[in-house]
Amino acid sequence: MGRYISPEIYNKYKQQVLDMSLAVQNYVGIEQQRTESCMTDAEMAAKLGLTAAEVREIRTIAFNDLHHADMWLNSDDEKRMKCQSYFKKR
Amino acid sequence: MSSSPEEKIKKLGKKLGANLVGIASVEDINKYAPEGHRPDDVLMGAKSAIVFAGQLTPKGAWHSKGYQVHHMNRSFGIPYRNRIAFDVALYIEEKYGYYAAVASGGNISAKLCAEMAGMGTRSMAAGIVLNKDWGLLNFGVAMTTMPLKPDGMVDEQVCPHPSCVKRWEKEGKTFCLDACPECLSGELEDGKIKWMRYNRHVCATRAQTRSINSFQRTLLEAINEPDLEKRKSIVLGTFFGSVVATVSTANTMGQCGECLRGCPITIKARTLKPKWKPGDPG
Repeated sequence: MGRYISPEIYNKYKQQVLDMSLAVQNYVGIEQQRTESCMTDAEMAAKLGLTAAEVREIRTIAFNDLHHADMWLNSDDEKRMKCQSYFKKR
Repeated sequence: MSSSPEEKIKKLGKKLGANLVGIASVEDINKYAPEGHRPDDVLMGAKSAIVFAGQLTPKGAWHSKGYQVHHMNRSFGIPYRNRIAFDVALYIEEKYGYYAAVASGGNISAKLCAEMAGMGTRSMAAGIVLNKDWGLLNFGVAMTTMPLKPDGMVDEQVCPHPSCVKRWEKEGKTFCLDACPECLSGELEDGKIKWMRYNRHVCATRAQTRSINSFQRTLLEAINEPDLEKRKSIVLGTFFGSVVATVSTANTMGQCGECLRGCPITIKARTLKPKWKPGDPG
């Protein structure tokens, strides 16, 4: 069994954890901005009042939960289309 | 004249197969790396990080109309670079008597180490490090307690390429932004990157279409499917089958790379001119 995170805790924090994680990365110039996103689990935990282990669990589940299974399946077509479009333009 | 330890280490790295070898000081890396993700968090007393970089794939992998060839070829590079890092770590311990270890498993950022070792600069394409001659590289990193002279960062930004600056001024686009607006956004100003944003969560579904993550997501879908025939179709179908096959080989990568197909820096890096023609001696 994995570490159990209650649905209440998961639903309360999943979006904040995703926003603060590496799921979205912002740069000014070429410097990664780490005040709003790109934080470590420990940094997020300190901000949210959770433990780093809880944040890690929420982040891992939320990242897999974010997109429907079809998006993984359809990404094959996306890549095929992008690749073919490049060779057509050449 | 005998060569320095830095020269010997770089020579060995190249002999073992690295295209580039660079050295970063842990002090420089720690100015940017967060606590818990610093080389001396992984190897106590680490002073230097040695980065072994290599071209992502044979150049031909970019010249296939099927993206799968490019993806499959990319999966070889990282274990190969890590093997070089492993061999050099053993060499440092044996020859110089300093501790060394391979940095792996996401504890430290190989990208940051590569930047600090002067291998290139971050690009508009997902913030990956581009080298002006080799384009997109992959990295293996060995950390050591041995104090080595660092190479330092490169002075000039590799990205944007002048042709991207021209296109931006004319159309408000670069080749990478145009190729993948779902993952990438940003702006150039005065010929430099003003800001950029990378939606890694979107890119992950493309880079890791067949991966542990897609396995977990698809399995959950199957478990939640109340219709037995639909569930059978999900579990026994081609997509889930290929996901399971890929999980068994751990065949995965960070970015899908489609944003770099039209990148002038990577095009230059992956272009070959024949050095031999039929009739020439071998």
